Amino acid sequence: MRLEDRVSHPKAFPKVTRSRLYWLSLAILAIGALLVAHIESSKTASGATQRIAVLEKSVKCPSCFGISVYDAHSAAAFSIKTYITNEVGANVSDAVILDNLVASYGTSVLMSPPTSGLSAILWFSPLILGAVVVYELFRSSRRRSPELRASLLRAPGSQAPSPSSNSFALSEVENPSVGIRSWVLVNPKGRRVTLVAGLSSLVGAALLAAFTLFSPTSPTTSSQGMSPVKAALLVDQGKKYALLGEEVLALREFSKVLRSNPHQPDALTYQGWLLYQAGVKDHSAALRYQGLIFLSEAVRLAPRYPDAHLFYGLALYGTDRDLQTSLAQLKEFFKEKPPQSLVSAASNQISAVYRAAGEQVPAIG
Amino acid sequence: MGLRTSRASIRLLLAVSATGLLAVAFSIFVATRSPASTQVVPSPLLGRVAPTTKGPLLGGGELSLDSLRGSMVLVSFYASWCPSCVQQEQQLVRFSQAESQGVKIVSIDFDDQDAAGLNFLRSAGASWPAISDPAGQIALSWGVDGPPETFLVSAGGKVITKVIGAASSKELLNLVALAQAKGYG
Repeated sequence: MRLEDRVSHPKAFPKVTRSRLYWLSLAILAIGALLVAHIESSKTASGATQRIAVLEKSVKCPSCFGISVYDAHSAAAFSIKTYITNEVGANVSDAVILDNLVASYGTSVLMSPPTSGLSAILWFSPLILGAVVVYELFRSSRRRSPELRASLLRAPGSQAPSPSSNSFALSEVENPSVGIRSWVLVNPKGRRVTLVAGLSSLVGAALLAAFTLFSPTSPTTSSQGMSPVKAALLVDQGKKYALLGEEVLALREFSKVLRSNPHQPDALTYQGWLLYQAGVKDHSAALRYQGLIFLSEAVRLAPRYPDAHLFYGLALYGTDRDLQTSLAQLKEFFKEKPPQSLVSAASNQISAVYRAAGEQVPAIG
Repeated sequence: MGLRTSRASIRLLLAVSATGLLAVAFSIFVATRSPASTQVVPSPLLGRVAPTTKGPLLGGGELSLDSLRGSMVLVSFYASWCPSCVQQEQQLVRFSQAESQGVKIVSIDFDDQDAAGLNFLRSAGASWPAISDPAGQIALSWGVDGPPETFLVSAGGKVITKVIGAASSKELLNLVALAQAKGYG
């Protein structure tokens, strides 16, 4: 090529091949997923409630099986939730909170393994696997037999390349896209390796994207498990059973909802109240406390839900005679303008708490 | 061709043998493992100074674990709602009767009502102090998953052993003897 040609003709735009398109789309997908993850994580970092939720989701319930404390209702999970709430309230940093939990329980308490020591192998294994696949592709492509190379270069019916055109032909073969494509065409093992490599990349990218897009980042209830409509129907059914005195059937309905969505405030509230009442009936402190855990969770997740405040307040007064906290919950209940039917149904118990505190029950209007 | 077939057979044989060996090794591991209910388990606290443990006693008063320095201490986490804690308390009572090395016992009533926790201890015949931990924050600092769990603390205040589940009095006596033999007493 002459010097003038080089100057007058700018460098040609790289040819768009299928393989280049594939790598480009994969790169765009990966960058997009990382961007979404970054945006989501910065969104959840704001606000104490969301910070608590994020921390609870990053800590594993030590007495459960593979679920975070956010989704768990065990005593140990309750302790960790209390600890996180207190520490966030005291403005302690996330790193210190997690470090303290790791100091007590070890790194196994974290939902994501740490990126140091032996655990680093877990993080880097996909990279190592990818590198192995790429190396294997490269190595296998180098192993192509010269006969196959030559046969690929010959069009049907054409002559074998002459020694004079050999340099051009070889340079074409060395072009990676042509080389790999031809290797894939003639080598069944190569097809398999390419298929595995391609599928692994696609599945990995899809998983990353799915994890980023669909991982729960805030304590919303609608996005998880069964539809809100179905959950509401089951809760209503449970309430009807409870009114008929069929506590076991009612608990079964609420449990169905909670299995699918552990943060459904209605189900948490009524499950908690039924457990508490069962505890009172059977003189079981364990059941009463279990009920209180559910109720406190409901109040935390749905601070504007009057039923949760009412039952939590009554249960607190009934369990520990904690008059001040109980009264505070009942005041929250009245602040949320509860339905008259609910106030009437619990009027005796509400009056007992207000009487003990020397205060008048607020009028509903 | 014949050579290829024999190579493939050898590879297959090797793969099957390796899988079989792994399965046998796993079965042996599972069969010889002590039940999860009583196990001496690792804890990040082992070899470290015991977490600050101070709180109101069931039945009145206050206790700090630091005040017991100079003696080995068994710190036992329990709750009145925990079924296997009944067995745990019975074994601790037997241990306290059999033990002659001056090992102290402190119970921590985890996530429980004070009255229920105290009744539970009294009905088991326990006479040692029990600290109230209604919100489970002491248990959290010790990394307790769920009661019953017991920790042996050296005279110098370091955590030596963690046992999950209801340990027998004999196991506890052996642990104390081992700790003393290693110079923790």
